Amino acid sequence: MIDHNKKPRFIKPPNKLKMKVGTGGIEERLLDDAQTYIQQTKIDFKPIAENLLKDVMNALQAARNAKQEHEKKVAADNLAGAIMQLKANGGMFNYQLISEIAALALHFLENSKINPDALQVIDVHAKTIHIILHHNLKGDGGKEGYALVKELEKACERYFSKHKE
Amino acid sequence: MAYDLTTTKILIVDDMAPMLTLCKSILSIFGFKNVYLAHNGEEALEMTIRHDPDLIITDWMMAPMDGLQFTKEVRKNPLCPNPYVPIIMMTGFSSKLRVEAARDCGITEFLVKPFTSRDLYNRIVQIIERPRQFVDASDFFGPDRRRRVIKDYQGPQRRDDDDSKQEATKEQKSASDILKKLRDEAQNLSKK
Repeated sequence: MIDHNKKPRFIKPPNKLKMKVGTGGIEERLLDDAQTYIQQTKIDFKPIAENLLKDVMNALQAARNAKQEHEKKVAADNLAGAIMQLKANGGMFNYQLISEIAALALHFLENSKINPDALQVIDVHAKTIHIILHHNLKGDGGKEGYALVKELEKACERYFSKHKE
Repeated sequence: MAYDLTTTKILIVDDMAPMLTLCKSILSIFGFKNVYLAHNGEEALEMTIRHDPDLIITDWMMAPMDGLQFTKEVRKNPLCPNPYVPIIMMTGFSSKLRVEAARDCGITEFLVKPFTSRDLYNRIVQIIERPRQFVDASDFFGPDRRRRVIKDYQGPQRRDDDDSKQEATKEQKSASDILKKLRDEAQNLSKK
């Protein structure tokens, strides 16, 4: 049981980490090496992303089928979780465009109410990610990636203009 | 003179094996020698009790125990040897609500995925050089969610300087600009 009368106490724990590591930071060269390692990682993200995308599609379907408010909430949480995984990991494994599109979808989801139109917009994002994976568009996706983002922009603009009124 | 990271024990928790591998490699390049890996909160709790890590880096969404629950356990479970151990939450979530929820569970720092090696390093430096005091209150035990301002602080700055925000190439930037504009529109929509 929470004791609401308890007065907050401030504690300054010993800085064990500082005592262990000392001073001076780490060399710039090592930061560069680590970044190069990330950029040149051989880990194949495509099969992982395909599975994550399946999770997104399943969550989308569950969201479409949700009738009660609590079902919609659970569906929205699951959908946000699945999209977040694509956003988080895409950029770590050289699929920056997937990460950016998933970030937009996540932002959209966290700022919108679940309705058929909003789910359709999320669906367009998921399909764009599917195309990126199908064509193996790594990094920013180059010209094809840019074209896809422009298409996505049109789809979102249609939603925005409809829902601004 | 540089940090001596050879005796520091660090625990990484993530349900995605490739992410664990990547993080372990980055930390090894930094100079960490004792890196422990766990695939979920439950496994991480067991390893925390057994190894008493000096620093924990954990993902958010995992089963059977997620990163938030794991953090609460570390702070409150009497079996955990060090309730003050610094915890970095690394996740793809970045909204204010999510960050606050993580802070309320007792995390020390928040690291948004995807991140660069420097982003991760900056969080570690924050923890070493600017540790947060702890608050023990009726409904919260964890690092103080406000940070003290140190006037003569010489270390790296946070958030705005994060490399992941600065490394976009020119082409990427044009696509990014469109995506940013759409994000802003979605944000505006939610305010109406």
